[in-house]
Amino acid sequence: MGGLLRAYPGIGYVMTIATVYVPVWLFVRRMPAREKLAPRLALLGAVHAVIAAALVVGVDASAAVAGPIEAYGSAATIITLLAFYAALPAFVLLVYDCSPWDAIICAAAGYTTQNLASSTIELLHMLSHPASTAVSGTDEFASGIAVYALVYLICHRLFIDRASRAGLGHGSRRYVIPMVAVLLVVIYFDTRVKLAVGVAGPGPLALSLRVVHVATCAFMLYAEYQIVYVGHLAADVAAERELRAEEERMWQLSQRNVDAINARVHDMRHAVTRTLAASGADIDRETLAEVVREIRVYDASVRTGNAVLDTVLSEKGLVCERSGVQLAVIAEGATLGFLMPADLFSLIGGLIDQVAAVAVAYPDPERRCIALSVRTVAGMAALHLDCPAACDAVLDLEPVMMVVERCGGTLASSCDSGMLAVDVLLPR
Amino acid sequence: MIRVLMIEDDPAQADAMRALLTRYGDERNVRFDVTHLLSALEASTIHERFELVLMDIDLPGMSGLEAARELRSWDERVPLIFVTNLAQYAVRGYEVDALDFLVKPVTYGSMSVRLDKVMRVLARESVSAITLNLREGPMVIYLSELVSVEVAGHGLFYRLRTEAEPIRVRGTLASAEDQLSGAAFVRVSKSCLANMALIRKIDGNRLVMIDGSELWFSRARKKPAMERIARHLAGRM
Repeated sequence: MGGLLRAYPGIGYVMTIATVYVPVWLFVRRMPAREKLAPRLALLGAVHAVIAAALVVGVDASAAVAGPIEAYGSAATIITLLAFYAALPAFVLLVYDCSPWDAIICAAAGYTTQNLASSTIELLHMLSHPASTAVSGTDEFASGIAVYALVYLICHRLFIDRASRAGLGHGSRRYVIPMVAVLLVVIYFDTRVKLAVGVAGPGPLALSLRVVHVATCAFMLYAEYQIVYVGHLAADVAAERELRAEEERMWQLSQRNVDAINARVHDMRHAVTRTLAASGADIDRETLAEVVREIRVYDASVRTGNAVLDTVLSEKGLVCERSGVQLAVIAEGATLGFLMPADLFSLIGGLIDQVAAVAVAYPDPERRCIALSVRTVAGMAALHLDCPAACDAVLDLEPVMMVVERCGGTLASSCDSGMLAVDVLLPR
Repeated sequence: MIRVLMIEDDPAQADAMRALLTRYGDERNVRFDVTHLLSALEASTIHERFELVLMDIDLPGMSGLEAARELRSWDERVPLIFVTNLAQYAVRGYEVDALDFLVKPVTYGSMSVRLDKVMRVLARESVSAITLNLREGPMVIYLSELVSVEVAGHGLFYRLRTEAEPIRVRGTLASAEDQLSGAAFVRVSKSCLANMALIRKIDGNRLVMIDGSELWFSRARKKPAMERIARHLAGRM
């Protein structure tokens, strides 16, 4: 292999392009592929065949005229490579369904990773062959592949996997263009370092330049990761902030609704009671007494010692009643006093909503009942809800989990012997 | 036959609950022998064993809570269900290890759901002690006394809350875990089982047990262990 590369240095560049695609693929693999993939891949293959031919012929021609070292630094070679790297995002867009920004980020990050691996090989070569003017890749093909694999594995574990899981496209777009510009400078820097080694010979300066290049590539990769990952976190924080604001607004609205209902029910009960007390009035006392009993059910006032909890439970109690579900609550309000109102609203409201949806679907109407208990156990706030349910019932507890995780708590749901149970422990 | 102690000062309410018990018994082929008392004071004079206690919280004279404390002084394990009004919240039934609660007016649906839970608890409570094979001979350990089981070297150390020194036995933690399956024990780390019923406090990555000993979660086991603990601690009323 080394002989082949010496004879046809252009093949080395073709292999370099191939090694770029490995990290780029690692970045993009979680993205959805476009439709009609086969013709797209065929087109991509054809384009790359042309590029490969251009490099092999062009670089080799340049090497034949000016020598292999000069071929690396020739304008034609550099321009061909830069054109390829500039087109790389377009190639990504051709195959994967993503935004142009995502494609640029993946291409830039993929190339940076490849450059880091390549530069690491050069550095190791210089350290192991201090007197050599040849660039690596010709005599140490097998070890070169091993270094590529090792560097890609490390970068994958440290950066690529996390960034692609976090989801690309959240990064701050304003940093992408400068990042790409720096990357182009790094590419140029790499070719000039190789030229310097080949022309001026090895030495401390060349070694220093190579070390600087390795460090620059590593820093570039870290910077790209920060742009993507921190951007993702910022997007998450923004979404959560919006959600909390909405929940705050919802619980305040609920409180106003419950207060209004309580006031009306209170007035109604007094009016009926006054009517019942009226002497000589020709009224159906039995019916009115029944009305008073019914009104009492809708007397939504709940007193747990926690105003927010009272509001949530009152509202949810009414909703459950209308749905034919009995909600029985034993709650020590002070237990949840440490929660922000919006969080408490999301937690209790969300839990009751989800469990009530399951309870409503239970075939026996008499057994559509939810029990909720809130108390302090082992220094923690303990919440328990249960209801009879079929054990294939599905709960969407994602919004509730957000609150639980934010508080450092634990949520466990289970279904055993026809009873669905959700248990939450929150540190106080 | 399940012996039930019902403490309810309202005869009408008591009759209604008795009817619900009868209906449940007919449907599930279970017989209930109900002893009805009108006050907690009467209950404090009875020291018979029952399989279930239904107790109104709002009793004349001694409250249901006080009566429950009295009951727990001589029967720690009988399932206890409080019956309470809709307007009465913040019941501190957990202080007396109540199993569950019913809200008046008691419907058959809510009663049958609670009774299903009682039946499961009664079936489970057959596992209350284990036997250890010591050099001196077999030794019975009540699970209510067993705080934790830890492994060190080739030995298993059973820590009891009534003993200053743990009991050392040869064996593996896996075998101890098998022996304790069905009981309220949770693996908190590679080398330790904790009795969830004897947890006093959960503080970050450590459990403080009722005897003051501290057990630490391992990173890998913390999440599943906490889920199990949540189901146990939060689920028991």
